[in-house]
Amino acid sequence: MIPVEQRLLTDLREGDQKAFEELFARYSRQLFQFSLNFLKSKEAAEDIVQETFVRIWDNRMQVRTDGSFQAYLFTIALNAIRKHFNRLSKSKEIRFNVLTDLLDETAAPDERNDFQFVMDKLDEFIAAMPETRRAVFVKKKLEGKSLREIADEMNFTTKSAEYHITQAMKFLKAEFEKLQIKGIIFYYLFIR
Amino acid sequence: MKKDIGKDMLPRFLKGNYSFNDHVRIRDWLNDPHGQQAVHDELFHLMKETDTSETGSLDYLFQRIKRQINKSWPARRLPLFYWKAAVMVLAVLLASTVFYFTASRDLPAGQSWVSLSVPEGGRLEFILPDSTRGWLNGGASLRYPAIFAHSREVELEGEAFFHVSRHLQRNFIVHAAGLNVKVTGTMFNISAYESDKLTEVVLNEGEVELTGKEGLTRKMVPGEKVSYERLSGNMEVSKVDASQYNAWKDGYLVIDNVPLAAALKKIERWYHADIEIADESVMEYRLRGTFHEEPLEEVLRLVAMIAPIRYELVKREPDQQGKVNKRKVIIMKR
Repeated sequence: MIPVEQRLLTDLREGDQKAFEELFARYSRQLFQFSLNFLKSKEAAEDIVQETFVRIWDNRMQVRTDGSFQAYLFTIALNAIRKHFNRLSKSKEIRFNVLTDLLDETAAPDERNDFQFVMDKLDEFIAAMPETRRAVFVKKKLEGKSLREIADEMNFTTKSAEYHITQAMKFLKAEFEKLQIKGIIFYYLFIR
Repeated sequence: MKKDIGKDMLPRFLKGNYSFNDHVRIRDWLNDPHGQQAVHDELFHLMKETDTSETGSLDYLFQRIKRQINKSWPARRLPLFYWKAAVMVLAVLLASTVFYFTASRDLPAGQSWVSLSVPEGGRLEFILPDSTRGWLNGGASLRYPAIFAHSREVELEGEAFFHVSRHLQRNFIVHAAGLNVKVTGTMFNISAYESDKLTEVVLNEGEVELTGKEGLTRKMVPGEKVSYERLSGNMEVSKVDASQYNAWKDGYLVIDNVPLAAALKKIERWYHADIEIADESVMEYRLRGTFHEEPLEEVLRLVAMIAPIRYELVKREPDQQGKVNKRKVIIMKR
């Protein structure tokens, strides 16, 4: 425990905003970068930093001046990190299912170490689709809506909704195949 | 059962080098109720080792945090003597209230007056004997009778925001520089500093009636701003966002499309500084901006970015009595 920090914590307990700002300057970057690495989402990492520091300010009277501030900060942050991880986990699982549909069994993605990469590619390809096709695909595959619901929402027949899905899947398959030809996503076949 | 994950898995995961099954393992490890200490220790250790050489500035996040905790954030840290002044004023207020309850039956109305004043750079919330609430801005003063017997009439110099309690029988009247504002029950902001040319009234809610020179009257509707030029008796009416005009009570310095001269006057009062204008030719330049919790230097820097001016902060030195004077700023043409 360095005396400067002890001083900052004493000031913080008294509601000194300069001390709060200084503590933010000292500890926010590592928390942000770690959250970003762990959650792979900038918005989530920003939320973690915001939630953590707001709670520290709100509970400033409870801050101990004789312990490690960073450990205290992390205890608060960990709850937020866990919450966000579990929320993001659902969307990862959904994307995993889409990938399983797309890639044939020999390329089953469950043990591939490039899951994040493949997921990012999937998002990139989805974003590149024409607007209507993308809307139908996202509603069906990521939000789990039925063709019937989508057709009603978008004011066309289930047949055309189905057509968009087929086209979207074809497009994604083709894009992933291009990557395979480049050898980017099949390296695991040889190292396994 | 305590869940375990491989030693190298977490660092690999943090680098983005992981499989779906790794994700599932980490998810289960993270949520295992029996392994929370290990999760905490392991991740804390990894956070402390995180390399931040590529991390960008997080100033924007700090601004967001400041906005969120705004309510508990001290409005402005006032120097001690302002607090003393505020406490004294509060004491006067309390005294007047006590006076009202104990002596109101015996004394004729309008005999004793209470006066509140706020030093520049400060702000004060007040409650009047009729439960009208409001705020006085820096450099303003308010005079009101200790007893509101028949009429509710107050005198204002400077800027105040009033939330007038409703009394159908008794109007609330504010006498301000050159203008009288008659109210039944309403919220409005009035700025009437002797040092400004204009007296301005902005109505948030309800209805007020203004009376100026030579019997000139006007009823206002919410969202209206009346600027009354005291010398000529000219009245100008415009539609505005009324909430902008009382944001000062929450610590916002709002400059809304006013000439530089008026903006600098406002800044002068807000920061209890002396601003000397060395070149009058730039004073007609119009300015817009909102500042919250910014130090004087920062506000000047931003103003100098928008308007064609330069500024110089005069070094403060104690005089012979050891007293440090107001901060002094000199404004020049760029």
